[in-house]
Amino acid sequence: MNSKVKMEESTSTLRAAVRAIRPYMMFRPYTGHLWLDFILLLVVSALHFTILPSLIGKIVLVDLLTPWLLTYFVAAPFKKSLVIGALTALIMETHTSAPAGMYLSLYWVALVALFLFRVSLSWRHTFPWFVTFTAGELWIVFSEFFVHSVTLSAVSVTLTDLIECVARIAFAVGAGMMFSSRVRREGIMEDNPL
Amino acid sequence: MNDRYKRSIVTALILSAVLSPFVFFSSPLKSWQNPPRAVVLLQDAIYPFEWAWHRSVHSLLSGVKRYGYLSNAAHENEDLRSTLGSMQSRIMDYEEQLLENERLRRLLGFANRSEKSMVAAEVIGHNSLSQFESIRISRGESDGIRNGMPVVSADGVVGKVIRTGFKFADVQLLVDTDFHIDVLLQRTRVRGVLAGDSGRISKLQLHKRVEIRIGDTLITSGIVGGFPKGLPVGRVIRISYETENVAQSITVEPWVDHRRLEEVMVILNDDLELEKLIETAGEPWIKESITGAGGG
Repeated sequence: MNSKVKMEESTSTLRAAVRAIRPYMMFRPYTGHLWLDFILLLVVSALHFTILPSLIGKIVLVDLLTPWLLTYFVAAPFKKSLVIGALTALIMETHTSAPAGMYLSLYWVALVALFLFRVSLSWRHTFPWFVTFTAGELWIVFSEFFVHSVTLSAVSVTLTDLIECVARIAFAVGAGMMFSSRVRREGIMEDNPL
Repeated sequence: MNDRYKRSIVTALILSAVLSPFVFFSSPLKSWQNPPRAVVLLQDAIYPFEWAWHRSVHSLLSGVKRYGYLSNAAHENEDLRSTLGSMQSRIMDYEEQLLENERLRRLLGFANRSEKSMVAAEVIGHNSLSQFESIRISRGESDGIRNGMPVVSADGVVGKVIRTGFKFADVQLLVDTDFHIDVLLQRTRVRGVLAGDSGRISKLQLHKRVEIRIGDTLITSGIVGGFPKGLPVGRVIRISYETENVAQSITVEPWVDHRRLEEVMVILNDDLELEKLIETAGEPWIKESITGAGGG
């Protein structure tokens, strides 16, 4: 009898512990805690640069960081978005041979655009998310091609490049819809974005 | 007042968003080569995830490979025994040639390539996302890796180190638009500067009179960049003529397929430019100049 009570007590303690850490265990762009958002960003960066490319890199070009960041920009307040956006841009720039400042500039434009539009849209519907991820990824892909053409002083786009781009955008939109599903369901948008 | 404040912030944001691409394009458009320590720390924070993934995948694949090797080993053993006899006689011949080569090198005053110390590194990450591809290797500042050091593989030139963390380094690839290397056409010994083009190929501009054929091999000239002379760089796959037939544009496919790279070697050169100066002007002259400048 005594052992049964002890077992019940320990089970309830375990449940309470799980309940306490559950808010921190959610794999979503915006958790409400900047330090946790930063750690999750590092995990997504590792997925983006190492893990997913080694698994499916030959089939599709993987971009997880852009949809992750766009979801964050919609869900989080402006100042937090600014910090996470700058960190993401620096991670992108210091992990590739992209010109310094490129992703800082691109993500800044995306942040400002989303900041201006997000109050006018209903983020509980799928369509605004779909448009945001498609437009955001198009913006990044187009800008990368443009900067590349400027550094090369020539335009070189092949059919393979176009197919790769379409696949990349499709992957990013899919990943974005997955990332944003919880935000769509729960609607954790800040009332005052600034 | 509150509305006016908000409106001014929104205006400032829109202005900054419109101006930021212009600010970016007015920059030198060069990748981060010596980023602040705090920025590199970000990459140091990602490194454990990358390292753990690389280790687990590597050990799994090597286990599978080992099993395959074992089943083939018995069959190969028999074949190897039969070839061993003929190889031994060849080795004796090669040893003789090696000695002769060494004597000739000394006579010509060539630097021995193996004198350069190298560090082997594993490729732990490859960013194939954008036009700005790079690879990440498992050696960093703690192993003596510095910016600008040449990176090679068994097949030839890979690129150069552009960033270093404590335990990792990022390598700018030969096909990067910002990468330039002095090369020689192996057959005709004509020199030129090869530049990265589109992430898969490199381009070389030569005078129209230079004789060149599809399939010609390019090697490093050893003049700038710290690469030893004679390393394979790539092969000519296309020749086209520029407007007015003044120059010919040569498309080069690198020998090294960077998407399949697993291990690379980093050539440890502390100061490439200084080394080149020493090579050209001689060590005594450099020492004299440094002492003179310090004294003056």
